[in-house]
Amino acid sequence: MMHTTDIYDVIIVGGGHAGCEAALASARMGMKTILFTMNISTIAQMSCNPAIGGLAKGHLVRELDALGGEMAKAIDDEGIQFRMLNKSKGPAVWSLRAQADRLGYSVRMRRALEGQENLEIKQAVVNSIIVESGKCCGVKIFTGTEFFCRAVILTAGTFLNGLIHIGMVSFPSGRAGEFAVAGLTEDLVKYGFEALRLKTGTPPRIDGRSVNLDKMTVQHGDPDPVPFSFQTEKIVQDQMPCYLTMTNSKTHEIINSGLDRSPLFTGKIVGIGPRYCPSIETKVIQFPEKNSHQLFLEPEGRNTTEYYLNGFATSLPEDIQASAIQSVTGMEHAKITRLGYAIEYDFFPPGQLLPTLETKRIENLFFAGQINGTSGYEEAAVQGFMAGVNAVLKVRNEPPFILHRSQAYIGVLIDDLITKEIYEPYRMFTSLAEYRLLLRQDNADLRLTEYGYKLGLVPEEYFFKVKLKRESVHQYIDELKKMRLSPDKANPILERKSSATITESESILQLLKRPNISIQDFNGIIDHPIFSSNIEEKLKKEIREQVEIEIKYEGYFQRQQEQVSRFEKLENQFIPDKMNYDQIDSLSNEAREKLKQIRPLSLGQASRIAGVSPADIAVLMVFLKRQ
Amino acid sequence: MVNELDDTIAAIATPPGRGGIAIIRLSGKEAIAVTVKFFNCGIKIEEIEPRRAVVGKVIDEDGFAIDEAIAIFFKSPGSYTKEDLVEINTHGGIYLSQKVLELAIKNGARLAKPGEFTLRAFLNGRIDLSQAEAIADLIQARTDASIRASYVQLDGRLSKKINEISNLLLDYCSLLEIELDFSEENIEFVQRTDLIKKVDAAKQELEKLVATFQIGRIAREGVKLVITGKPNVGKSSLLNALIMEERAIVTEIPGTTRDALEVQLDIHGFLFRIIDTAGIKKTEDKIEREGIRRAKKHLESADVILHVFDGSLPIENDDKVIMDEIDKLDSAKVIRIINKNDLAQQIESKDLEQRDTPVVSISALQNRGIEILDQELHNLILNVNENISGNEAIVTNVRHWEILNRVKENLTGALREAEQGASSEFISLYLREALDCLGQITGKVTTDDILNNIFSKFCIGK
Ligand SMILES: Nc1nc2c(ncn2[C@@H]2O[C@H](COP(=O)(O)OP(=O)(O)OP(=O)(O)O)[C@@H](O)[C@H]2O)c(=O)[nH]1
Ligand SMILES: [Mg+2]
Repeated sequence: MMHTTDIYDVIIVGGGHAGCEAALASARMGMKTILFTMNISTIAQMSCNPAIGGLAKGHLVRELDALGGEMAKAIDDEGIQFRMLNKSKGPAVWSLRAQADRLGYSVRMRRALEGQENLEIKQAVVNSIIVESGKCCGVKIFTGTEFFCRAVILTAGTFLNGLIHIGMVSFPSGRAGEFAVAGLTEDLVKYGFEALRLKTGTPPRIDGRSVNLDKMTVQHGDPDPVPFSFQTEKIVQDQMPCYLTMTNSKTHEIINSGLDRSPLFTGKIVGIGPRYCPSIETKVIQFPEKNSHQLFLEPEGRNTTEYYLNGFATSLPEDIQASAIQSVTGMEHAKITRLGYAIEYDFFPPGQLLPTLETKRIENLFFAGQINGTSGYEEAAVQGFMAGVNAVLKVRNEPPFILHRSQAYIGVLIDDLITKEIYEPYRMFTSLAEYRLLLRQDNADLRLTEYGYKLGLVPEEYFFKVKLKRESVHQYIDELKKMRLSPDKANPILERKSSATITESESILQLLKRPNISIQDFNGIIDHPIFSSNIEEKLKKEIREQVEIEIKYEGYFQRQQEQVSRFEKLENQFIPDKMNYDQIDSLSNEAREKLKQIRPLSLGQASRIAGVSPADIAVLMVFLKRQ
Repeated sequence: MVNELDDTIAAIATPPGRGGIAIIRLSGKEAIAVTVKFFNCGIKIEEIEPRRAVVGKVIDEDGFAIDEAIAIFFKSPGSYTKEDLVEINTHGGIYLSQKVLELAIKNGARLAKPGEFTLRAFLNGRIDLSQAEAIADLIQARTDASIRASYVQLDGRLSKKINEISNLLLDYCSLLEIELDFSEENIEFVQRTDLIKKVDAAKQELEKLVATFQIGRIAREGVKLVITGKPNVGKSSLLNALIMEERAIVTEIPGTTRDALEVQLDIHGFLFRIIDTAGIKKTEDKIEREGIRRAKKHLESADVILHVFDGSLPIENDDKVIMDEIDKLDSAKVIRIINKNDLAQQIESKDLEQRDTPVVSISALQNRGIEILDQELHNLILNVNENISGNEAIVTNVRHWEILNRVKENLTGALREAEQGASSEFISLYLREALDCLGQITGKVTTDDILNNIFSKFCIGK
């Protein structure tokens, strides 16, 4: 059998968002890396909506950026509309979202890969992995050639036995217009992996020349767009608008008339779809009392007239898609360029993984992205990054890099994946992060840059910049603590902001805790750099923002910090690798089975497994102590 | 939160029982600081000597001294748990010991879980391996039992109430999470005024529940036990036998007792107000009639009724009239007593047995069967709390009471945030903690439950 003489450190299978981050992390950490993709022209393809970020997902992108990932920088370059969501809420739930130039983003990411030292890119289908004495040591591609390595990261997305449905028509495909991968799932199942099916869907694309945008509500980006990456100074490019329209009862009527040919409602589709991203037919059926649903026309890019019809995910037959869309205001003559479709694909329930994303079954084999049952580019990217880093650390025989739930959304995501059962494509929500007040997108750099730096993924000068930021924030808060403002200086401002006036001099800190009072209200009045009215530099703006947030929400943060301390106590009690649960009589049977299956690394993780009770945790605690 | 390891825990260390002394134990970093908040011994905290018994007064939340007690302070690591530890010795009785425990919790301790002192002793290396062997099983058995017990124990009305509150909180948590995670969706968000109204209503419900916690009431008033029966059956004799003292006048003349007589007594740690009343029968005697009217009045507010029969006589119409009278009062627990069992008996227990009403045969004259009656009273009292207030849900379990108090505090926090116009995540911070607390009674409520609730009720998703 033919094989290459080169031995790689890390092989990545898949060139999507997970694969790209995995490959970059690995190569940047100095590993000889190769990435296999079925099609080099679709590297980092956005297979669903042309956007990055959004609620909670924006947090993931920022965290990835702080750690040294690529996604934030790529979208900063290729974004065509930026919005900070949830601005009316507290800072913990603000989140960035950007529309992307679909093709531009792909090219931008490909450029990053091609510019990366130590990284080879190869167009080939991988059909099987090579395993020797329980360890994965290579892959075999469609031509039969074998590639050997020290670690393999599988990021095959929706390609494994992908099956596309449009009406009653179905055909194998990994994504519209691309082949599915057959054989790899079966190969892995041979080794004892469990594989299940999920489903997801995507809406049709519309020819922009065929719609009347004037009849729709225009939605612009933020006038002063905030970049995703902490290292991007400014978003310079022009922004493009999106357009909002609504379905109506006529639309719903047409949809209803096509249900007899809906693969979703005739039982043709067996995979489970995401409830947070239902198809239009699901919405119409489940919420008959709603006679209208929002639809967004999102530009596919700067150099095309195509629009993505967000809100209209569907697998209805072609004729129904067309006539339903034409019943919508502004779309009377709409022409579909690409049909909406549903896709079913294999995934490997991620309970089979360690927190490093290495499989429990086969050493040196890592899974990341949609094959772990997640949805979303951001979720995929952070997994790819974490798998990449951990594969490298494994190869180097160094301790793994694991983030706790109290440290990052990434930690929440991975812990959920490996601990909970996945019933539907997993998506990040802020409500999943119990310590979300502390895990903000504005402080992702302060939380995580140091890790990225230590991993060798963040340049030293930037790391020092973050250090400086942290120190300045502390220093400024200390300084503000000591400063007081007299009534004659403060009251005119308080009056203007219709906030209660003061009669004696009051500490600035106290005043800033008031809900509608901000640092900038005192610009020029107080002699301190933070109150200077012409702060332009991004870093200085960020420092001011941090100071303000830390002061305003101090009480809440403290409360949450206490919750974190309680959490960490259990989290830091580790369960040895070779723990024999059969040895512990007093465990309940259900707990024993679950523990044997998940093999949690800490008491904390154990406590989050469904079926493991507080009593079981107490028993474990005693047992561990006795060892 | 499960398995916190260094907060301060408290529990009654002695089994509940009659008389004697009860020990309330506190362990953890704040054990001493918590104790001195309600135990006034005139010594400054820094000057307390370890392992020395100190006499002081237990001061309740209103500032009244409710008992004189002895506390022994142990400094870490020289204690059973190797943590700072305090043992407070009170004058026995469930009420007092519960009250002290209640004060400890109000002042910052947490109710210990079953076996938790031992667990800490073990984890801190105080007890050795052989002693530890059994602990795991012990904890398992006891925790399971106690969780199951407290769940089953949940009176139907109480669990209904708590579930109502829990569902309401789940709904509002979901509504808030929608605002945060799905703010881009085309759905109507919850009105703050509506949220405040509903959460405030839930909080008031909780306040009512917390207030029903019976230890307080029994403390103030004691268990009201009324002795009734037709004249001359030996009611006054029974009172005397119970208190082992000739307090009530006893004669062979029917109608001896006219006005009710009240005596206080500690039985199995509960304070009883024992009320001997006039024998009930039809009469023209004005004084006797007034006595009977008062007797009936007492019956209406009784927690426990001892209905005395004269076993040497057959059951008569007068006995039956009283039985009917008592039947109408469904709030009190009843024990039927066949007295004078030193004489030839014309009534057998089975003549009086009926549903769950216990029957006890005694001789007040010869002090026979009094311990059995004592025991029956003890059994009864363990359940009496649940039935005292009729149709209202009430809280009888310290653990529940403690949890409900924490829920209440969190609702107060949520309301404060909502009223100040805070953003949803801050309101949610409190509501979710409230829900977590309730989960310890009703079973855990997870984020998945919240999300499920959202997806089932709202059309989410572009
Ligand atoms: N043999 C016998 N006589 C008893 C017993 N208990 C009470 N007696 C007698 O029964 C008579 C009535 O006793 P009391 O205790 O005054 O009865 P009472 O029910 O309080 O009567 P009134 O107050 O008149 O309603 C007295 O002569 C007692 O000595 C007993 O257990 N055995
Ligand atoms: Mg009498």
